[in-house]
Amino acid sequence: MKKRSFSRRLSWRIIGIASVIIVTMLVIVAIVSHQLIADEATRATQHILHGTISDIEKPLSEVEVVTKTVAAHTLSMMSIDRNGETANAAGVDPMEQLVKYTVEGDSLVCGSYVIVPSCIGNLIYYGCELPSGDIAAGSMLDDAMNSPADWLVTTAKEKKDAFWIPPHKSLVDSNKMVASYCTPVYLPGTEQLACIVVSDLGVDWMEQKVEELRPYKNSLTTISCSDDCIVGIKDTAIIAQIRKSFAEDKELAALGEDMKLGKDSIRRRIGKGRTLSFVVYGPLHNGWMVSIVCQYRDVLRRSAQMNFNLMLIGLIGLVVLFFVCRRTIRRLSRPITELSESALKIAKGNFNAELPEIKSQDEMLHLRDSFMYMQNSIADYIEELKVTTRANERMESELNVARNIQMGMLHTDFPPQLYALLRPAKEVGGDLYDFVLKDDHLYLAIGDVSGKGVPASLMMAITRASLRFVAGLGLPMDQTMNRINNCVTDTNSNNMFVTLFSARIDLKTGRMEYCNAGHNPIIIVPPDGEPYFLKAKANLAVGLFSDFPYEAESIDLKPGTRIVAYTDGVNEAEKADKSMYGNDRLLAYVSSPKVRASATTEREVVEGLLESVTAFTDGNPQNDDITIMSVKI
Amino acid sequence: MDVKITNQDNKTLVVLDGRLDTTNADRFQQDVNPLMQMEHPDIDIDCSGMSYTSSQGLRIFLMLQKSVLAHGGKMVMRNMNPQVKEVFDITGFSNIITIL
Repeated sequence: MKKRSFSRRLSWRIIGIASVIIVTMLVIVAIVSHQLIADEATRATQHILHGTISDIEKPLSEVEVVTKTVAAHTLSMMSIDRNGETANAAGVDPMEQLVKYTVEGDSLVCGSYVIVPSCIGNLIYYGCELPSGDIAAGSMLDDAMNSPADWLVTTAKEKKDAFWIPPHKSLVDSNKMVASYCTPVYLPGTEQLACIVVSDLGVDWMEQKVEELRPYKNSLTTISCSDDCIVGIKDTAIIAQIRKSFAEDKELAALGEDMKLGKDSIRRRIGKGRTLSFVVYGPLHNGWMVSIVCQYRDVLRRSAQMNFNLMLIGLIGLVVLFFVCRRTIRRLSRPITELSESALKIAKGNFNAELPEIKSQDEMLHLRDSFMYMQNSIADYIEELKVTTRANERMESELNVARNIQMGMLHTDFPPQLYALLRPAKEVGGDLYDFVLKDDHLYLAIGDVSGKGVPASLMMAITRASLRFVAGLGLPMDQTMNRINNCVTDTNSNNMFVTLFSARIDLKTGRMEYCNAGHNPIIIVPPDGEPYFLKAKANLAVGLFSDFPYEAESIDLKPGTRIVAYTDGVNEAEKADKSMYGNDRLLAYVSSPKVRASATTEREVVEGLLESVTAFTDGNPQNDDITIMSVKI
Repeated sequence: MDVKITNQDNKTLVVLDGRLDTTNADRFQQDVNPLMQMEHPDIDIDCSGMSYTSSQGLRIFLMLQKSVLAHGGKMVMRNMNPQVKEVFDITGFSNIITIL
């Protein structure tokens, strides 16, 4: 597994969070700024559109007024004409004069015509600026079918009211585009067409105006006059293509419909992708539609630039943040690294390992202080442990010496007919046994001090000393026990007591004199009968009351009789479930054929019983001293 | 080992329940210590629940008995089960403690 440093991991996490925040902010800024800029752009463009519309309408209105004035004059002139005054004094037709003056007098009007339909053809009075700048005026009869004049008359009859002809090539100058305003004049009181007054208006200025009107780089301003004529687009192929798109695209078709109805409005989303645009449009009073198309790409160019810059700044900021974070975190977390190194040293046993110096007053200082406290505590604790261990070791070695001394008090030079063992529960114990073989008499004793451990062992030593001393006196058993009791009681201020069984066996006669001071009954195993517990008078345990009247008893034993004496560590040995070895198992053991076999030695009997008890307790710790003695007479 | 000690009409009733062995002998001694301070005590020990006593337990009963005699009072133990009674008999304690 790759090891990644804490500082790097934390830095990456901070960078991650910062990135999310920055990106979110950028996205919000981009969306909001785009929205605001787009709204502002459409509003501004609408404003420009309205200005443009009023700019274009002024000349149109002027031309309309001039034409209507001419129309009013023609009617009066035609009535004079009918009265026979066909020419004025100069011999010039007044109608010709009228059209000539009109062209001359109005700078906008570049051609003025009066067409009078008659049965022989259309009589045309014309006054027009020639490319040279001169003004030509005159009249002519046009009897051709489908001539422009004929078309005009037909159209005027259909429309009945004044109308505009979309820009077209001038009749006198094919390089010049003009729009014409036509006013049909009717005979008063009738619906009979008297004449048509036409004024040509050059549209160069209009073209120039839409050409110049570019609020944005790729925006396009147009004036749609008819299906075929769009001022602002010269190429007819493009116009055809636009018409096709308008016919096919649902959105554009709806837009065209709105434009035809002359609604003043706006379309915010036209086109797709890079050419996504908005359109503002409004009608002129004559029904022509002025529209401005702007691509969002241009409108939002500056905002896009700004967003890009913001992104760049954000990116640079993130990189800087990463390095600053890593450096700072590494610096701040250095104490942790150093502390961990110190901890390793301490773990290896160097309790004086130096801890890092920390100047900041923060958690690091706290950590270091805690660490130092722990270091000192461990050092103190270890020192304490050393002292305790030393004391324990000393105590243990003293106890071992004590054990050796105690074991040394017990006879181990057994005659063949006797064996005994003592196994303390702790180092030292409170059980004892003793025997003296003297002049065909065998003195026996087995005892158990209440409690165990060191206090019991001291009592045991006293008892053992008294026993040896008193036994040497050769007194009867009751007096022997009495003496021992007095000796022990004198030195016993702690209410401890000793249960003691003592006996003297005459090896010649087999007579056993005994006294039991509160000890477990011994077992007699006759050579030819069942083993039994030897009943004895309930004398008080030794060490409690001076001069207690101990009573001795006697019994005759057959040769080959075995005596088994023990302490309560045997019959009260416990298993883990608190069940005890008990008297029944004890009796069963001594009556078993193996034990009763004549070849079985006293040592085998004693060790066999200990084994039986150990097997019974099954690993449960020995909780009382165990002493077993076996004698065969 | 549960020890319940109640005082009633100048009589002290002690009820023992469980095993009195090496592990709890010290605690038992602490429990009965106050009884050794009493003047003219009249102590009645109910042993019906006591299933076993170790030699340390015997020692405590003995100390209690001695203290009762020294303070001019009396003490009886009753309802001992046969195994416990046997221990008291063997050690000769039945001679110095009143067992009913």
